[in-house]
Amino acid sequence: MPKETVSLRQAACTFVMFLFGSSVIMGVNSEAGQDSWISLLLAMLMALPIILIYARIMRLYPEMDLFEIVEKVIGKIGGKIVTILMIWYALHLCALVIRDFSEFIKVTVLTETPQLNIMLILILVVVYMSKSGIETMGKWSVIILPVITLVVIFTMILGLERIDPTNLLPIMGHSLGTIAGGAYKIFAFPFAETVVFLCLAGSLRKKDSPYKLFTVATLIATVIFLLVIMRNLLLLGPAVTNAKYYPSYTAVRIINVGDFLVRIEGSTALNFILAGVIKTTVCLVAASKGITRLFGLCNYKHIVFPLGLLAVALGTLLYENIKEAFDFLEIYQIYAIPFQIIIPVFIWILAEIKVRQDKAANGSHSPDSAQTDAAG
Amino acid sequence: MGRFFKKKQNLSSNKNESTNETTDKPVLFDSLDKNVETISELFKDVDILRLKYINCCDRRLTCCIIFCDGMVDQSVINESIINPLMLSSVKDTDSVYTLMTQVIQIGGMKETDNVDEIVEAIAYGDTVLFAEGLGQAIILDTKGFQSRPINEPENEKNLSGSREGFTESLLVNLSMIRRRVLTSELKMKSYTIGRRTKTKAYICYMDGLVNKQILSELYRRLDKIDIDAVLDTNYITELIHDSPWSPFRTIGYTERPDAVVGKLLEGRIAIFLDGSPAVLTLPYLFIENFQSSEDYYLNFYYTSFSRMVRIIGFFLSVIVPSVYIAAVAFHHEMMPLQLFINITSERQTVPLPASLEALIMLFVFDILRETGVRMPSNIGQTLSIVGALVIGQAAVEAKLVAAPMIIVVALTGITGLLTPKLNSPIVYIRLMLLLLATAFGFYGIILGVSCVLIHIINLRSFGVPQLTISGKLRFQDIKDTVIRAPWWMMILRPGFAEDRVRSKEGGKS
Repeated sequence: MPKETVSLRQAACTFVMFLFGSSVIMGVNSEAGQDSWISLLLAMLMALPIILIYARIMRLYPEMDLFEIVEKVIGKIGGKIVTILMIWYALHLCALVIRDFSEFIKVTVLTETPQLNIMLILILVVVYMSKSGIETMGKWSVIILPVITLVVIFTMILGLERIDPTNLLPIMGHSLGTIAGGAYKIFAFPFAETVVFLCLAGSLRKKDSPYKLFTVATLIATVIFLLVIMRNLLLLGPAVTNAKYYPSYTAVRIINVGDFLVRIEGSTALNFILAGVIKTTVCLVAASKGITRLFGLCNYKHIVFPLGLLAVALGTLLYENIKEAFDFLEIYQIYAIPFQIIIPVFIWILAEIKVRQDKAANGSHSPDSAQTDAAG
Repeated sequence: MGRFFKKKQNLSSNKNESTNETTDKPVLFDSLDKNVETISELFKDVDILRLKYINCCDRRLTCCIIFCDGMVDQSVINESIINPLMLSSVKDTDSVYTLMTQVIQIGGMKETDNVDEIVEAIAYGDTVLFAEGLGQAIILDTKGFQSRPINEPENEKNLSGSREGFTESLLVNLSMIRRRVLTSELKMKSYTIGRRTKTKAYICYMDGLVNKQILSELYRRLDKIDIDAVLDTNYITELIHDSPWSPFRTIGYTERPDAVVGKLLEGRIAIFLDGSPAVLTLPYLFIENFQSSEDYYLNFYYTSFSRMVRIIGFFLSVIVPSVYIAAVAFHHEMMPLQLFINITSERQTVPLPASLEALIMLFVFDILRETGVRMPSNIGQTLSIVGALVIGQAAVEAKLVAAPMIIVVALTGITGLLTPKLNSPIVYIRLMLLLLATAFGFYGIILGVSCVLIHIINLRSFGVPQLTISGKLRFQDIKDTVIRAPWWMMILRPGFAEDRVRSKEGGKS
């Protein structure tokens, strides 16, 4: 099958949408209360090194995805094991997002619709997107990202009359440990989840720098998150923000412009759904590509649909109720460590050694040609 | 006779065989009688075929002219063929060149010995001249059939700009293009489509502007067409469509020569088909659904506004009924209180659920629209009375339908007529969104719109994506989309054109 490629901007938009995904509605707020925004900035600082490691892996083996890279650097058997682990992570993440999505809709509006139906309608869209390919996903993100950003900015502006700056006081009222704990939560969900992008890395063209992509996209996402956190805190205050399952939804709900523009919380749902579609698609495509690689199939698009249904089935089994969904976030930050940190760092170190070895073996070749040799 | 039988069999056998057996084609003889017999055998039972024998050149040479009655211009035949043939006294009569150069007074003529070509020429209104002892025939251009006069196209009316519209006559259509572009860059290649109709088509493009890859892709797809007949350009549209199942157009059509020339000058290719006043243009970008040739003839502030009206109209047309359903059924809280009270009090006495009501009313609107198209124009009054009074006002007063629903349906219907080129997708998208809104409220609408967007992004027209999204916001990319920039800012042609520079930077003088 022909290789799908995306431009740097399309990839960046997809990346931001991915980060935005379920986290914008689920929880970029932490237990740090009014200091959540400090947690966010801290989380970004923590995330940048690991994200740069992901970028470095992509740079070492350009135009290859994670599954090809692990086979190169670890060997066939080890590569298969890592591949299986990453497939599980991507599929599980996919199921988590779908479940979060259906929980949200069930809690907010469609209280009597069975969750399975909501999940199925979402997965149909996601499967369609995945089958259309990575290129379509990139273009779609380019169109949708401005919509999402505008909604955040508009709700911010419309809420201005109701904000209470004292909600942010006292600054650093929590201990550094609490703030750091909150930061780690944000690090694990959503920043380090971008490890899934390594599975699609093959679609980025060689001339585009992954460093630029990852850092710029992370910064843009951080700015949008900051706006969201600030809006929620300023409108609701830390106590309400932490008490609510969906603080963004509640914050926008209280906006009232001249008794005409009221109850526009649907707009945050819009954001959640649009970004959720991208996040689910990325995970689904990543899992499909992994399975394609594992069993030597020719085109990942053939198994997208069954895999999507599998994700829905997994999603229905994940939790009993919404409380469990939020409790799982605590476990998630530990559960995700191997996938988000250990495996990538391990691959990175091995890849650095391997590339250097190959370069030494090839004598005085330029680093670029050594990489292509390794890739070829 | 055995030979003729074989020939006829050959003609009626399918295309592939006849191209393979080129050796056994009917040929011309030296004998006039045999030739005439060949032709009249082929045109057996075609009673409008006319034969006329003429003794010419002081009776040294016997000729026969063959033509179809009604297809030819009789006065041309009389004055420029029969008259000179009868009166001429040319001595040297052993070659067709003498006749062609010294006797017959017609501009378009051509000698041939190909029987297929002769048959086609006779069928197309030309006159064929056979002469005793000459192994060739002369095809004389005497086409004189009647065609519709040039009128303004009914469904693409403009306030300003050219009033010409294409007719069913291929050559008249080509002439309307030709005289607008007076350089040799404008190429017109003929092509024949249809196994039985042998319909003439012309492929026009500007050499140097057109993308050669798109052109060869077009020829590749046209060559693959194997169909009996093409009666309208839509046959070709469906046969060379990029995604045959999509309701969206990936090939444009217009009946306006000025629009076609505009498209040609943007590096597009036009396909003319004999017998069809609609001309195809390709590649076709999604935004062309909202463009009109008039946009370029009026002030750019005004036309930018009307462009936006059309785009918003498209959105409204697909989304208004479903938003109404979602708001009434699921999201009461999003309406301002007074609006909610008004709608609810209206709906209280209505027996049907809102979504069923919407489905029925939209269907009724489509019935009215279809009737309006099909019925004779002099009973239009009846339709408007039935539509407006009975189905609108009376239904509301009888409390069968809620008044807001009538407004929704009217808005949907009117906005749907703004973009006639999107007619077929609008109907299906609207229905899909309506059903999704009934089941899932706004979430259904959002997911439905996402799907439509994915579909549009996937669409390609001859390999060119219908929606160009680079992610960079450059003025030259949006200058002719949601707005229509002034002409002095239109520096570049669309991305697929071979030569992108339309004018110098700041083309203003």
